[in-house]
Amino acid sequence: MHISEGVLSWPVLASGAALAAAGTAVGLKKLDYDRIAQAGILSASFFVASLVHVPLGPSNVHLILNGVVGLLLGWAAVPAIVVALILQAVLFQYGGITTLGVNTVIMAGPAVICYLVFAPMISKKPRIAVFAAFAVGFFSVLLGGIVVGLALMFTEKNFFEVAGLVVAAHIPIMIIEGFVTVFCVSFLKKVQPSLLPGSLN
Amino acid sequence: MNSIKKMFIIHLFLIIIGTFAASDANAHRVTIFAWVDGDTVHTQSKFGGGKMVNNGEISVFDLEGNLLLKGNTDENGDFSFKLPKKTSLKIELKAGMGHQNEWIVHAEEIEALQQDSFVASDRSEDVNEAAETRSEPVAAPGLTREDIEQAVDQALEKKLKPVMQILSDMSDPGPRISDILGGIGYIIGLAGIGAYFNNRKKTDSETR
Repeated sequence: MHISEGVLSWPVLASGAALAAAGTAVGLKKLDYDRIAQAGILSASFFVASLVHVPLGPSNVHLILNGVVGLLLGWAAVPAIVVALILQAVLFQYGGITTLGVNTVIMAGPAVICYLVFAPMISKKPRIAVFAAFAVGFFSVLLGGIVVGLALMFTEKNFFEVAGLVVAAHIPIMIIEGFVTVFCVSFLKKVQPSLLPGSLN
Repeated sequence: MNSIKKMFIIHLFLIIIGTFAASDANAHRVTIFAWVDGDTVHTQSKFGGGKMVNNGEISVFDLEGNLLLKGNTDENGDFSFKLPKKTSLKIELKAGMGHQNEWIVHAEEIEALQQDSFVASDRSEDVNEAAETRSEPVAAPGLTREDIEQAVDQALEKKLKPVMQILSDMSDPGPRISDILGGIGYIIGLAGIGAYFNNRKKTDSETR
């Protein structure tokens, strides 16, 4: 889901960068001292998640984990994801520096939206919590695909075609991310419920 | 503190998986590699990790940005075309979903090859003239200069193909363990800097 350099026109790049900068500012403001270590570790997890491959039929897909990062960090997910994306761009040549803003919106935007929508449900009854956790993993990737479509709409073809293509390619990973998130949440609920939103703050 | 410790273990687990799964194929970026062979330009396109780009869109521009030709890669990620112009070429690959890359074939690369053949033919003309004056046979009977040139070209192409393949592979090393560990180190360092400044703020306000 990383958009390469030179694909997008500059108004798209500029608005992506502006949104990412605003999100990062909000995230840093909301990141208190106790959560810095958590943000760092989740950032590192996101950084390597794209290297975790799930073989699936002829192709294989990789984890994104933006949903988990968003669920556990809320707005602070934005700076965590920005840092990981900068390092991915510099060290792995995934995406690029000019597209950093847009890529941040693609990954971090859905993370924050899923946090705002589903985080209150996590502390509810187990059945609702499981559903919410799955939805976080699922929709964080789905929304990411839609944002990719939106970003490419201005330079390539039409929105539905591109977004449909990206979303279709990521359907397996949406489901896998859903299960990974359910696993993470149920595990954390057992060992360390205070990390989950709704119980600590 | 305990919570951080437990969480650290969980995520360390993820990080370790990531580190060891790194050698696998992935589709984060595409690369294109091109080389000139006589009057043909060969290109090879692949996704990071080695998967070939099937039906990727290739556009060839000169350096002024004029589109010279367009084509699509086959299932092996290959696309070859005749040199449209003896200038530097910018070969752009679009593999869909925002994946894009380019390769520049410099004019020197093309000219060097052309000059080589000119020099070769000049020299052989000299030899021919010399041969005429000395009336000595130059080539074995029944073999013209073109035949030999063609045979050498073909042999060279065969021999050079694996070398070009190696070069193409080397142009895309993919993420290495050092990159991955370095990135994790940066993140830990940043978290440390954040913790340090926050801690200073705290102690400052406490002493005041």
